[in-house]
Amino acid sequence: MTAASPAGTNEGLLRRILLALAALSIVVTAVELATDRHWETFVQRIPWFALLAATAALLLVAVQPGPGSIRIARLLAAVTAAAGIVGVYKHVEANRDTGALDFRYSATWDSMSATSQWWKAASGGVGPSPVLAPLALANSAALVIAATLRHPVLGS
Amino acid sequence: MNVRLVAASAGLASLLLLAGCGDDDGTAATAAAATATPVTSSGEATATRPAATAAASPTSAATPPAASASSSPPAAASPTPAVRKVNANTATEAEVAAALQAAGVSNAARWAKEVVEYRPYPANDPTMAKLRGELAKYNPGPGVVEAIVATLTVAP
Repeated sequence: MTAASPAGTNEGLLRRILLALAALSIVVTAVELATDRHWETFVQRIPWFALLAATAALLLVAVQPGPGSIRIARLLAAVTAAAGIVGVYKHVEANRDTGALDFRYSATWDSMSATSQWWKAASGGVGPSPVLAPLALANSAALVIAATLRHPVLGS
Repeated sequence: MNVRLVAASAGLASLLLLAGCGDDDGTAATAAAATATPVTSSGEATATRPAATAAASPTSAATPPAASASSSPPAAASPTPAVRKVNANTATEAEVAAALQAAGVSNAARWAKEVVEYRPYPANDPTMAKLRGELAKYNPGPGVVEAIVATLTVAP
């Protein structure tokens, strides 16, 4: 990155900080997924693929910046962000699908309105899946994309 | 580069990482407390948590031990008689659901789906600790996990 960035400028420093934060976000998310053993099913492996995409995007911007690689990095980051948003939905859906297993609702869950079920699933009222945790992927992607804004290799 | 965009991205990074690390400690603790209640050894647990027992199901596995304990002492030594065991690793979801239904577990189909989802289970762990851990996440009623495990085997 430094080869293409104007050394000694605030812009170059901020770009490096953004990429460092993106790297930190990717590592922390991977650790969190690993401690949760988030690989039991295919759907649970999707964030790992998203993290690979985010890592590739990060490396493209940091190591080999160029007009083409910046565009590819943005595309990969967008895919990662999309995976994060889908992850939020999947977590809410998983919480809703298993709401009846919670002893507090086992006798009443099926008679509750769909709105009530979705609200409880989305607000942490039922289910084990952390609803907003997948947005950590979108955060990593946003940091990578932010690091590409007005990048010197793209010209003015 | 827009400094405000950078600051907003960094702030979003911090917030999302903190949110992502929050996970579901409260739920896990509640579930652990619920599954630790030894309802199969005595009817006392059902007396101290009537709401939970009623919510689980009038035909749940928590009920038979209490009934048998009051009518026949020898039956208390065998809290799950006549339970047809199915292999947790090889039985179909329908077979698991049927076994759970026969054991009086409410929401048998939903529990069966979870049992199948977290395969495989180690054959050298007859206590099925992995399955217990996964099921406890859903905050089941007292005795439900025990009733489910009692219908399953991991023996080849």
